Amino acid sequence: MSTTLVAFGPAVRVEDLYAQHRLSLVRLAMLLVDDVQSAEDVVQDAFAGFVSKANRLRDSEAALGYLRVSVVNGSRSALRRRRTARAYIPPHEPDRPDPSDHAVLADEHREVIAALKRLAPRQREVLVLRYWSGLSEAEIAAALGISKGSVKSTASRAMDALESLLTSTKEAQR
Amino acid sequence: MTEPMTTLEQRLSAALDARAHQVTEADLGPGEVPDPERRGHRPLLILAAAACTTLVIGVPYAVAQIHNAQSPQRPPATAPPTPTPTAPGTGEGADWPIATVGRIDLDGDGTDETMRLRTDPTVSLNPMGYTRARLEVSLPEGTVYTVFGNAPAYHLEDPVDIPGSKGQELLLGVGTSLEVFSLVDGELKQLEAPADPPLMRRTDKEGRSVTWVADQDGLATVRSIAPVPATDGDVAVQRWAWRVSGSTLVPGDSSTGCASVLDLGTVVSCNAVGDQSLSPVDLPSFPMSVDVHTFITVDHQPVTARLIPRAGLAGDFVAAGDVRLEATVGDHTWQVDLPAGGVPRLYDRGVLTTYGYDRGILVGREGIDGETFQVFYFIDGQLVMLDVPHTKPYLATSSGDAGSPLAGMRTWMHGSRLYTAYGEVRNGQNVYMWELDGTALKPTLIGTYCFDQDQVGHPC
Repeated sequence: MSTTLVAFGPAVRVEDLYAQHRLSLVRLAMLLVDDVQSAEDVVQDAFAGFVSKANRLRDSEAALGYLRVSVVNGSRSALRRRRTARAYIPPHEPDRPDPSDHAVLADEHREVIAALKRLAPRQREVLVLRYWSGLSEAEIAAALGISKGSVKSTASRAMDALESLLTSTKEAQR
Repeated sequence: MTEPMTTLEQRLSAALDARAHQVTEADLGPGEVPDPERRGHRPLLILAAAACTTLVIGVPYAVAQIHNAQSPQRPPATAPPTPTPTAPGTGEGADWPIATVGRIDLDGDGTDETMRLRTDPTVSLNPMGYTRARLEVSLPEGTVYTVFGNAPAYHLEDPVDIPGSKGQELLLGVGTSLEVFSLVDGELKQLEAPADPPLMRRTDKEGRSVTWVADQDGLATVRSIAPVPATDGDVAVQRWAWRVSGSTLVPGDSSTGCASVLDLGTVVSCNAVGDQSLSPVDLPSFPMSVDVHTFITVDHQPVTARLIPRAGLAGDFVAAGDVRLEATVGDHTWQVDLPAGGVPRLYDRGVLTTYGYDRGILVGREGIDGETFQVFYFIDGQLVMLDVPHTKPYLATSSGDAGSPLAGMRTWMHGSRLYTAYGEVRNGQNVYMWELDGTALKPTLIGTYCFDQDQVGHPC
């Protein structure tokens, strides 16, 4: 059996939370907004908002939960702003995948990510929180501010939609 | 136990993981806790973000360079953070589905930490539950994890406060054995325990029944002094209470007493046995109501369930009236009445019925023909008994009587999901997985499997 041990020390500080969780939160945001720069900004914003509340959150798990909610909300806002900002982009400028993307993400993964991007934001959030963050239904409900029943039904519809998109992608490639 | 995901779920999980790991520390700008006063002044960043949507994250270095050029609020470079304890979401098994979540006050500071048991999602139809697992505890300094090799049925027990240490101890069931973890000198360590008395729940080579008990008094091993009879009855037992001494578990002096074969952990004075005037109504053949601390959680709180017979008994069966199932989460208790029939059994393992969300409570009813099962699920704040079909396959296990309605049926739990094997197809059986459909359980045929002598199923 392999064991990773950690030394226990004094209560966590915001700086420690930042060092420990920044990368995973940026990854979470990136899965939602599909843009590293926006994801970093979302996470910076989340920590900025958290700093003022840090003294009232002694439990590091509660702190992580708060940060996660902030990241999800911030990602949603970033997507809304992006849609607004896109109105100012000349219409002849198409979305073009960078050819080097083929080298860094396997084809099958790229298909799934592309399909995920086409889901409604709420559906994408539920799937990312479930299948990447590994949250329970109750944790997802808390993070999104919705009922557990909504989480269930949203996940179900999202998986159906994802399957449908992947199937039609496969048929289009034939 | 494993939690078999569908093919689509596996694809999604793998794709998300691959996508997320395209971003590394090297891709991020120099990080520093932001100044809250600087929030909100981001018009340049909004347009910059919009422009960057045409870029693909597959070129991480290029994105980082552009980001640095267009982010006037990027704080100055700081020294890289000192090596930290494992961050959440890293290490082997970090992306495995969570099987169980619990809370434990590992450091004794009065605040609970979260403990999680993750299981390898490799699909393997094995009723014995062989799998790998990752145990992690989120301490303030970071997450500590341990990955276990193949073994049957890892499961997280409720934590217990064993005398001799400051905080609670983490109990991990590995097959029939128990492993105990504690915080020693600031480190999470498995406590070494002697081979005897054993920490397990089984019958030993001498035919003696052994169990361990965790309650408000701590952790104890109870073992019958002589081989136990096949039927129920009372036996003389030895009991050892464990205590923590540094990084080891030490058994105290043993005490003797008597216990029921059906409930070895409840040790009473032997003089008490036989003194009571018994009647089928006054002393039922199974405990009146015993709190079962399940591995189910709702809103991070554990579910404690109990069965309460509300009728007289005839022999070992509830002959009239009904049985009430109570489930308590925090201050709230739900109640559902079950009809009479069969010896009711409450299982502490929750049942997964959909996409790996909340678990349902499993109750068995044992009768002459075998055991039938019922699943109770929290739906929209209510505890609901899920409907099961009245046509085969039943959610049941036959007692072996070829003439009974349950003949040929076998139900088991694997990865917290329920499966039923039924019927003879070529040399195998059709295997069904039970899934939630509204407020009902529906069997879905997943294939025809042949079972070897170890009861491991392989596609025929």
